[in-house]
Amino acid sequence: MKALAVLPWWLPAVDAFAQPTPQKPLDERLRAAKVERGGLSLDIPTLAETGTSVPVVLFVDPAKLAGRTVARLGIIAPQNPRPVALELELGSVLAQPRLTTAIRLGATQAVIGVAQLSDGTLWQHAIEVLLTGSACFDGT
Amino acid sequence: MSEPIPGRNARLLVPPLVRTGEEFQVRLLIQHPMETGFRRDVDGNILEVNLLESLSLDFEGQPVFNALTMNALTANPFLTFVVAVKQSGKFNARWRDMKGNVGSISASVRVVAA
Amino acid sequence: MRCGLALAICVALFNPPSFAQSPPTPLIAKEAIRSGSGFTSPALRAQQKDDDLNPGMLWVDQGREIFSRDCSGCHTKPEGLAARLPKLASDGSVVTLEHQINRCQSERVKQPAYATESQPLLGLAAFLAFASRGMSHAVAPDVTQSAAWQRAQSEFTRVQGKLDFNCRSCHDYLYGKRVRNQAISQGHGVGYPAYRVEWQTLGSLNRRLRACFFGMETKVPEASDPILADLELYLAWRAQGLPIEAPAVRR
Repeated sequence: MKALAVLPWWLPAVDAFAQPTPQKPLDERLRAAKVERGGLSLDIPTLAETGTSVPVVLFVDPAKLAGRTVARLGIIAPQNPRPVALELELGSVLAQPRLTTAIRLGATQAVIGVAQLSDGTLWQHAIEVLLTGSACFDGT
Repeated sequence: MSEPIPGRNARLLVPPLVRTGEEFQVRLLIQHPMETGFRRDVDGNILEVNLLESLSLDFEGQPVFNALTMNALTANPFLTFVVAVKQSGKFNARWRDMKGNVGSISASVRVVAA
Repeated sequence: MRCGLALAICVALFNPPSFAQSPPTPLIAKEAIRSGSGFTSPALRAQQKDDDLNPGMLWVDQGREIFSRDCSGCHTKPEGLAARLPKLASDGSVVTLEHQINRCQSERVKQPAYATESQPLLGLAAFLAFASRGMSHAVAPDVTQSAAWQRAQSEFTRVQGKLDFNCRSCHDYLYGKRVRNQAISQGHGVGYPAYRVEWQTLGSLNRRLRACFFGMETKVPEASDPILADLELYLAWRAQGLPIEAPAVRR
């Protein structure tokens, strides 16, 4: 875990379930991180009618926390010009590890929700979102 | 925003009255273009990037959340959370964008015995 | 007898039932009429229904402040003001909500008129429309006799643009059908000013109409073109009975 300090906290979760290839070996440091599908759910439409506002709910099943707390929530959109869509530190006033918001998507892609628990474990949940174009173009 | 606007540019909504430890929603809505730097105006000029770069919400100094990155939040973003508090107090949200504009809003909640 | 019948037919042919007796009615039946909310996604509908998540309410808040500062001297109540508009002026032109706000701004408040789609103008328009939520736009019984209505009717039915459409092609005949992933609406303006996620801001019905012309790939009128005001009057007539639901959240 120590070596991970120089990498973004959510990075291991992005490639966690990809098969490493000779062209793209999995970084040993990433392999060391504990990534699980776990108790995180990303609720996002699989068919989005516009990329300018896609509703998202990220929530953690409290039953799976086993005494741990959720330290951070993140949303990674790898095909966005800025792939780190959202990163939040959660505080003690929260009664539920749950976030509702809306994000921008620049293209059809697998959007990845990430939660980091107090013991360093990463949970991830990815959903493929198909972005349909606008029916009428608007130049106003 | 070039024109001075009277009044508020955000909403922070909490129920006025809750019971001790009761879970309730906090809703934050901020008027901000969240300009990505990739859009153009009608004359074809690039609109300068201006995203929120910090945003936090606390209850009497105790953190609800602190945003580290908000690259893909929509224009005029909203965020809602579920919280619980033990005593009456005030929620405070503060934010700053890349151009240095700052904003804040607060909302009070009164707690009665369960 | 035969002569009498022929005469009656002749009279009927040359004196068809007069439009004065049965004025034209909107093509979409009262039972079928639905605002744009009936055609948006569940997510946008939910966002509109919840004022705490509807970004348009930020403009309403600002409009409320301006109203209490500048307008409350004359207007004791904001309710119902927007429902009286658009209306016909004595010179036959159409006065829209935004026109009326700017008329007050220069004649009563004695300040320069607000710019098109400027934040204070949108704020006031959104606040006033919000204050008329649930009411319907008043439509004069003889509106179809007006030159403005007739101009709008011919614009609404005129085939134009690279796609050979008129407004009817989509909004009277194809509503509910999908273009890509989006349902075609009936083209009512009762949600405006509305927050459109495509604009990523609040905008007027005037801007929405210009966007329609753009979508039809035809010449887009200037915001000040009177045909857009005529069309607002026509849309209010088409939407008779639908409640105002501004600020709506639209795609």
